[in-house]
Amino acid sequence: MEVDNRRDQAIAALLPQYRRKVFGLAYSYLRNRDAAEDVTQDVFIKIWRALPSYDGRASMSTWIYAITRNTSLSALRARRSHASLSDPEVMAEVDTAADSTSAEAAADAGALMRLVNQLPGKQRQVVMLFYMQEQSHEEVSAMLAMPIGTVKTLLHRARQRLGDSV
Amino acid sequence: MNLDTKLAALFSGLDTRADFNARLLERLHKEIAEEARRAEEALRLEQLRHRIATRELRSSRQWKQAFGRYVNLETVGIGALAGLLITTTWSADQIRQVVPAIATALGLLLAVAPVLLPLLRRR
Repeated sequence: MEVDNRRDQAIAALLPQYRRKVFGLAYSYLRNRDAAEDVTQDVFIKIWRALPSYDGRASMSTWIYAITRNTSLSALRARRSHASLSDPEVMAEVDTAADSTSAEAAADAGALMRLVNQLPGKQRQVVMLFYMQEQSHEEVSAMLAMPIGTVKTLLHRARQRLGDSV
Repeated sequence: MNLDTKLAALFSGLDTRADFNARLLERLHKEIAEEARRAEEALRLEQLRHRIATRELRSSRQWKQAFGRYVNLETVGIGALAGLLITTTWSADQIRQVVPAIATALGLLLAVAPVLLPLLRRR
């Protein structure tokens, strides 16, 4: 019971710090909000289960991101046949959010989302995470387990591609 | 609006639903209950295994003790004398007729010894 309490406390502390990051990383793989939320829940359950055996050799964030990447890839494999190019729910949200501004902005946001979805896999992930995570190259590099230089290159190429299209 | 601002506007607000934490907590409580059930089941199985192992150990120890008590120098000597007596007084044909019956009787005796000996000891 004491172990459970300690684990509950640890999860309560990790949740506000990592919930959005885990969700963002899962979303960058799955491009579907429901699926990304399910993966985020699974990740925190896995963390809760594995906390007693966490030995601190890797940093907490590295460990959590590795779990998220693996869980996302498993979920992606499971739903590969149903995978769509974009999340209709987010597209609808983009349109709704833009309703309050202007029809032109809505069209803009929708078109931009479609363009992002057409980017090659890694470029798309880097763009999504970079703009979700306060535009930090370091954070995106840790989340995707790739060197900062690669993140910068992918981001530069994606921006160029998007810039040309926009 | 430049590209950076547009992309930030598109992705910076992306987050889980408001009831995410409540749903996660509910799942965690279910996990805790399931874990407790599994631990209880494992404990029950372990106790059962322990009981069986103890019983088997006790039974084999009893058999060894009985064997040690009854198979000693005197009983082996008596057996050897009986064998010598039989081979010297009986013909080979007679022995051939009796040997299977004696072997069967001895085998039966050894087989029922673990059951019979504790009963005899209680008396």
